[in-house]
Amino acid sequence: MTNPVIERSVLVFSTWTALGMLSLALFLQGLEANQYGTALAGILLVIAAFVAHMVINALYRTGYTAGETALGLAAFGVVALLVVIGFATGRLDERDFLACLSLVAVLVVGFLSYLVTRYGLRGAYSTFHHKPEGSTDVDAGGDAR
Amino acid sequence: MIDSMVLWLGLFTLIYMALALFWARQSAVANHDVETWFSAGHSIAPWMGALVGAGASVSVWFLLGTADAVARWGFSSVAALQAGVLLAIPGMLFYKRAWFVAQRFRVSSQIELLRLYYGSEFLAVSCAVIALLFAVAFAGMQLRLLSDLLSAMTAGALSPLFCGALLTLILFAYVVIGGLRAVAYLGMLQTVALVSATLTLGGVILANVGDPLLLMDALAASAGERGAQWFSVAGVVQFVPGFGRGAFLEHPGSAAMILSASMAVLGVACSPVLFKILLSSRSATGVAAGQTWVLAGFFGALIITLGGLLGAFGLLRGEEASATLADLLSATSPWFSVWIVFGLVAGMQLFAGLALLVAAETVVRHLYKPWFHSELSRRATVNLTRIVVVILAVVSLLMAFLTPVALSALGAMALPLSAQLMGPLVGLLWFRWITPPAAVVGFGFGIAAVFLTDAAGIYILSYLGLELPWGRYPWTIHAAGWGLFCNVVAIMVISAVSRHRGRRANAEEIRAFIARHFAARTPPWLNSLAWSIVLAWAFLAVGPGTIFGNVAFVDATGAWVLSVPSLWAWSVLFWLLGLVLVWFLGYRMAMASPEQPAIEPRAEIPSLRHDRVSAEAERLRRLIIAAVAAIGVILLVIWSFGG
Repeated sequence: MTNPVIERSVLVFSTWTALGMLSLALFLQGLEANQYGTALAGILLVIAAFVAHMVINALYRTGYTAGETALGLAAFGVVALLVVIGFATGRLDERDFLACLSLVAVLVVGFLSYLVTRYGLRGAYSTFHHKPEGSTDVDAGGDAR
Repeated sequence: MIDSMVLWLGLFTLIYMALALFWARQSAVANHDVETWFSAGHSIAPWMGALVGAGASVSVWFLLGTADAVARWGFSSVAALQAGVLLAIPGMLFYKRAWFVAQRFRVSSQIELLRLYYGSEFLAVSCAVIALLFAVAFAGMQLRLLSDLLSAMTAGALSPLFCGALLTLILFAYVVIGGLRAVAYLGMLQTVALVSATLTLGGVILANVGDPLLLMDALAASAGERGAQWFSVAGVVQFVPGFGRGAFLEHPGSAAMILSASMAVLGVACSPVLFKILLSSRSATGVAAGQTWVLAGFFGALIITLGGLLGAFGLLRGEEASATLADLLSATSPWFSVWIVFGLVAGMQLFAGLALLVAAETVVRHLYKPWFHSELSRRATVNLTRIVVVILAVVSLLMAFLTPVALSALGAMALPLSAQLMGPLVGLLWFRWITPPAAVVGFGFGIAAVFLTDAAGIYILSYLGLELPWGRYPWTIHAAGWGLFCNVVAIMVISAVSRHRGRRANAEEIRAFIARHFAARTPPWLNSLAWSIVLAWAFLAVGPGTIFGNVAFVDATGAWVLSVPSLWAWSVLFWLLGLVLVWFLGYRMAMASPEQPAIEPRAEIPSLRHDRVSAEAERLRRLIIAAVAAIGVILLVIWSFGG
């Protein structure tokens, strides 16, 4: 009667509820009060949530679900868009921009390190690189061998 | 600022509603329609049960309630400060054994366990009343508190009633759709939200207070003549008639009050509400960790530090903790304020959801169905329970706003009444010498004593024209203390005179099962040592020994040695020792240690089913006649003597 899929989802939701909301609040506080340290604390919490998510994945021997990946990419896109809009409209000063840049950098590095740890260097590349029609398996990358 | 606050409140409300409905739907799918609506098929993960149980034990009450007690009565509110350890102790004593027995006998609630062993319908009805008090009154008090807070944050733009109605709507929506599974899954999120928000609140308090030691200096400087009230226990006991019937010596916070109020705190952990989440878990392996590290350790630390700090802040400002909290939140960024409030809302809904489900299940599945409608199908039982959930939630909402005084009096009585369940639970799970009639009669004496010494009972009797010569908590002894005293005396006397009476077959089987699985595995000297340590801790941490806390950390000049009130430092010391005690009982004495023996569920004994329709109809007819007669007599008494 156990349902590990749901239990994993509950854990993931709990992690992001506790750490994600707090990191959002800290990051906004950092921007509002022009305190890079506070914004950085929020970013560190995002990293902590990512790490916790990966630990949960390891415990349940699974990766990110399609829904989680889609939500993560959408959130990343929204954050990036907000940063660009904020900077373009002049609502972000230099310190705010630094904080936003740190966040985006962390998200990018987190995404890449996830791919590398999940698939390996060549495998991560293959995830995006689609082999042309008629090519051999060897061209497809490390996983195919 | 207010507009921004409303915007953030709206955003968080939408997110919270989406989460609640998402998990309600997930749960409904996992429930396979209505098959596992009541107990999630006993499949809740032990770690989830442990966390949700700990979160529900604390809910929002022991965080804000402790702060409020300190702000109102000073640091003699030791029972509230020690709530983390006190809430964990009954868990250590009862939960593992109860889970094992429930697994063997295929039951999923406290009321079924007690009915199986004692065969007492009086006990069953009393359990139902306690569950109802928790669901309607105790949860309703928290609902009102948070509705007021939400309204204050928007400077009245949203009325408290609107906030309360919205929270109630979300609450019964996910309970009705997903049943216990939704309560557990969402409860996990609510627990972590409560923790996260409470830690955030700690940060906000520190940001506002600055150096906590400066706050303590200010507290010491402004105490003046009130220092005795704020920082000391007022004697061992005071032979005064109680609240509403005369003055106390200095203040009501005597050692007897602390000890007896601690017994009321134990009542939360003995309640049918907390047993439900335990008995729905698929194993009892999470009990030790949940009670020791999460409840006594983590939540205990939050309660004794943040509760004390927020209370000290309120003490200094001369206002209730909730007012202090509202001021703090209004001076904070909206995202922090809203996150804190939603964490507290999550804590409230965690307890309220569980309590609503248990109360409705008790009324429908454990009382109505066996007495009046045994042919009710599974689907009809679940649907009827859903209707009762909605009714109870609405009643709670209405009482919170129309009769808040009556609600708080009834809510306050839930704890001491629930504490009286300790007698039957000890008789069921521990001591064979407690005979079933003794446990049931003792419980009856206990609830009668609570009724006669708590506000709700005194008010009801006064309304009927009977003015008691004492007030609430006579002799500075909490109603829980009076109840347990009468309970224990009755149990001992009746057990002595009824020890040769035979027991029901189920009771004998349970005793044999407990003897087989829980035979003493520790040497006798260690058992004696353990109980001696428990008594010593109780004496010094929450008993007459708290008197020593008045001066333990005060130097010859009267200054605080540790820069905080001596009684607070004493409480922190005994919270740490209490944590060690809980660990010792749970792991070393194996009272809650993680074990997973193969427990074969008892086979159903086939029996002939009789047609009970006519008997049930007759029973219902008699109940209606009795109820009408009772109402008539009560109205006659009120008309003649009271009103």
